[in-house]
Amino acid sequence: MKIKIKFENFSLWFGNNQILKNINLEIPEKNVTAIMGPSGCGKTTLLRAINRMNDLIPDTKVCGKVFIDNENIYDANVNLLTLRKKVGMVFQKPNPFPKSIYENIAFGLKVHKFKNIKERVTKALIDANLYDEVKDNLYRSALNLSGGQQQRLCIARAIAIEPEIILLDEPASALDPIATAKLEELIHKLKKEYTIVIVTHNMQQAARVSDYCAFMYLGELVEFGKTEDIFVRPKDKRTEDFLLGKYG
Amino acid sequence: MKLKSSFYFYLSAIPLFIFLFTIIFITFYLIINGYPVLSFRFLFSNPEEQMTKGGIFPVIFGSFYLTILAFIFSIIPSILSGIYFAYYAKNNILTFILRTLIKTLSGLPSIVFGLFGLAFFVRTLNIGLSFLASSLTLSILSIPYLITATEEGLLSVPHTFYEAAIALGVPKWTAIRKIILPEAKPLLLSGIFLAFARLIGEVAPILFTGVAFYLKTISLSPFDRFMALPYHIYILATQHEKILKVRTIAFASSLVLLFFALLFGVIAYILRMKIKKYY
Repeated sequence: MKIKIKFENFSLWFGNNQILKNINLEIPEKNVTAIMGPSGCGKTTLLRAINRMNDLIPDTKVCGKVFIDNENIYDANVNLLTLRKKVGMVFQKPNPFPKSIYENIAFGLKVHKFKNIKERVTKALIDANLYDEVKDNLYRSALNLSGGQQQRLCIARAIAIEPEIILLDEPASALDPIATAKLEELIHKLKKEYTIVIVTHNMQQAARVSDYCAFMYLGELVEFGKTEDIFVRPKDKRTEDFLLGKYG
Repeated sequence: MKLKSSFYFYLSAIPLFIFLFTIIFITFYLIINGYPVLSFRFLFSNPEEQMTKGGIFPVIFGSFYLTILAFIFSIIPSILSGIYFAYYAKNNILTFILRTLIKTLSGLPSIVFGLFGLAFFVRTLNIGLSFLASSLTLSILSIPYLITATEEGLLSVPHTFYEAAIALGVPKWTAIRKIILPEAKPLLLSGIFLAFARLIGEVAPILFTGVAFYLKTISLSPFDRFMALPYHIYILATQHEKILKVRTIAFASSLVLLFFALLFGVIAYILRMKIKKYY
């Protein structure tokens, strides 16, 4: 099995606060990898290290390497626009642009100079299991959609520009159970084509959607392995405590 | 308990009512004294017989020409600077100094701008007393305010839209121009109209830089002198030979100025109400 993303002795600071401590992690291709852990353990920061979104925060320092397809994305000559085209992201709160559904997807396509925009928009919506619900309202504002639809639109927006990796930052935390189920179904479908990394503090969700699972605690990567192994036979005491619900 | 809350009600309400009453009183006073002179002809004809008769068309024209010219000079640099402060400036000593300077500049008495305009635009650049010199002076007066308004407008757009665009691999400038600016537009326009309302009533910055006591007719050339509403009111009220005879014209001109300031203020307010709530 091929390794898509590889963290090598990776540490990250916001100012003097060390958020990630010497992370070593290998994320396999075309699988769903869940990162779980209690609030404030650095799991979102770890996710945002993969498309360098942490760069937006002033005073961020990093040390160590992150490889995508054997290329260190923290090299000085890395093109961030190319990197972020390759690594799509969906945020915790649905954040479609305040434009039409069509424009939401077409915007990224236009910026990256894709052709056949109309067909690609339709394809992205079909792939995100959203097309049937919105096909008659493509030119209506995306802000009129429900939370679950907005989140799937954000996924459609991300996959339209043909990324290889999709990062999901607690994508279901603002959704109701039915919308969550639809989203998880979609994640299951998408892993055939994309490498998916999902952050969640909901262990049931991690157990349902992921093939591999990483457990983080206080900025450290405590344990990583196949999801069934982690849930059935956790090696570390802290992982076991988390699974038993001893941390918030 | 009841007594206490009514006490605070009156404590806060009485000053408000006194204030409102003052404004209403001033407005009515102007209407009663100025309205009889107001007419279509008054607004659209030239002054006659040393301004004791005729209209104030060159005065209104001058005020608008001047203010619009000032905006042409100030809008682009202000919006670019606002974008710089909202999205590019690092949190360092240079930014701190720049912000402090802008705050200081916006608190400076406008007569200082007038003197600067005289020394720099009229004399040093040798533009002469003109629309151009006055509008440049006014534009400097409005820039600090417009920068602040732009920054406020941009920051009112949720950061999540910006993040979403960046995460798509969209260049920063494209994200700002295509996603943030369109959403900030109502607030930006609101700021521009508020600045308009203020600029149209400014007299000190134009006093030494080109405003004229009396001109027979209008000129479109930016190198000519001009008449303007607030200065016109000032001379009719204090400098004219036949002060009593022109007093009603002064009141009517004041009414016109008040109307324009109010109009732009109301437009700004309406635009401000159009700001969307996203979540």
